[in-house]
Amino acid sequence: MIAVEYFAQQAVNALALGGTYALLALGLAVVFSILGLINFAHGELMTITGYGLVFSLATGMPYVGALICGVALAVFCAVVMERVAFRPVRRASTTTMLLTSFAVSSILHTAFQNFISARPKPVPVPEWLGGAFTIAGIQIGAIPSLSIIVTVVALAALVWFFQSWHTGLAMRAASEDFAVTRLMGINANRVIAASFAISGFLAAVAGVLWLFQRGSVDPMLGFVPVLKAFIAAVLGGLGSLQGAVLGGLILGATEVMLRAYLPEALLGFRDAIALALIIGLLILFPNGLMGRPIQAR
Amino acid sequence: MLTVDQLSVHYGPVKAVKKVSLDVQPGEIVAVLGANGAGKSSILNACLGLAPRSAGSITLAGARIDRLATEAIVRLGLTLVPEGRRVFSGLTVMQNLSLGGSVIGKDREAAQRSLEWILTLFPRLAERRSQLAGTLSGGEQQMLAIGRALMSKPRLLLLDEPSLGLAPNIVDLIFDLIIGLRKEGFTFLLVEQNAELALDTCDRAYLIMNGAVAAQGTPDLFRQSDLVGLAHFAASG
Repeated sequence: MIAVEYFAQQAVNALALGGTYALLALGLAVVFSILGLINFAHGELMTITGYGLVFSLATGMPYVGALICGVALAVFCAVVMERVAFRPVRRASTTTMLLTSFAVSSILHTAFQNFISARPKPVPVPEWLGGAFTIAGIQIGAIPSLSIIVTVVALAALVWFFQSWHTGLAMRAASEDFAVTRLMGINANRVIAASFAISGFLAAVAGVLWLFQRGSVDPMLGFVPVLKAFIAAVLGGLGSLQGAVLGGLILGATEVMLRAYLPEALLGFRDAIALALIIGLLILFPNGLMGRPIQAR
Repeated sequence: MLTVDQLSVHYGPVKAVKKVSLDVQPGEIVAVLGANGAGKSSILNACLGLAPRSAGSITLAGARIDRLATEAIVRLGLTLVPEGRRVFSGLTVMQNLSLGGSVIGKDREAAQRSLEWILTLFPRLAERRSQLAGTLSGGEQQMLAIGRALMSKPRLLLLDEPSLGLAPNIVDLIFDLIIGLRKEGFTFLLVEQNAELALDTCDRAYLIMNGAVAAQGTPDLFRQSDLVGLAHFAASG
């Protein structure tokens, strides 16, 4: 019984972490599918959400208001990032765009370190999130449960947006064929700005969930998660939105389950084992699990 | 209506189009003929800002359009059905059509009218409305590509190789449609490799060889002088 309970708890953790990775990977995939850009500054949007939350709370704002401010700030910064940094190099090679995203990322790191603080700033987490509750005799933490609910709601909202909104359809069309999308009279800049806004929103939501787990924000906060999200997006098939979600869930579940079940002597190799499994999957599915085949060069 | 004057298109060092001039009058069907690789598609793409224009001007109804963004040109009433149809294969027929109507904006009634008009032009699309475009046959995809372009009620429609890879009965259907739409006031500029078919349909034709205009005139002129045969000879020799 204890083994079952332990497994159930770990399954909840796996879904929670996988969901957070899925949101991040989806944010990367939304931009990649349209621009062919892997935005390594995506993680900085998580950090911006954290600082937005901390500083809003410092003004005495109610918690929900501060959350909204944090998320809105990340969306705004994502759109500004595209306008200032990526639009001028849009017609350049993908390598140029990739390097630009590294530049944006390190400029933001440095700015956080110099203008805010190199040290972690504590993020107050609402008290009820510290607790746990019991379902069918199994104790489950409030934060992982919240992560799962938020992920499901965010994904459902996104599916609705991509199915029913004109801008959502235009984004899907642009990811298939950008030139023909413009032939529909659809404004290219608007579609790209919308993709950055959505990716900023996803980074912000994932950022809040990440902050609740960690309890603090520092300049490097986004680095590790965005790396994981990149792995997840590649695993799912770069550019595939469903693939990004699937890749995120698989990566999160693998990490949690390895942490829970590896013998102590091997725990240090956790990441290496997780990555080896993923390389194995990529050998079986060279285009990612749901990627479109890339033509041989 | 459309005037292309001394247009040149370069892809890097490659000159695809050399000082081409042509014009289309309202209500006309004009054909651009020539062998594969002669530069026909580049002319159409340049009209919509999709190919790099290195010299020359393009004018629509008296206004220069050669520096405008593709979407701005479409909003002026000029659009292109690209070679190879290029429907959005992951979207349904209805979603493809609704994107085609983007120019209409928020006027839902006008969008609905356009949609009903397209579905009466192409009853086959009505039957397949919730199917993914990628699962349609080649002919149905061409109908969808043309229907999608017509959703914006363009004044002038450019068609790039509308007959390519289609069964003869579908080709007839599409060319009958073009002739029918011309009677309703639409204007067409079409690129065709199938010269006989194009000459049966058009009012005037241009022959493009090696990126330049080699001849122009009425279908009769082309037939009498066997200019088309010459073009094919030039391409294969």
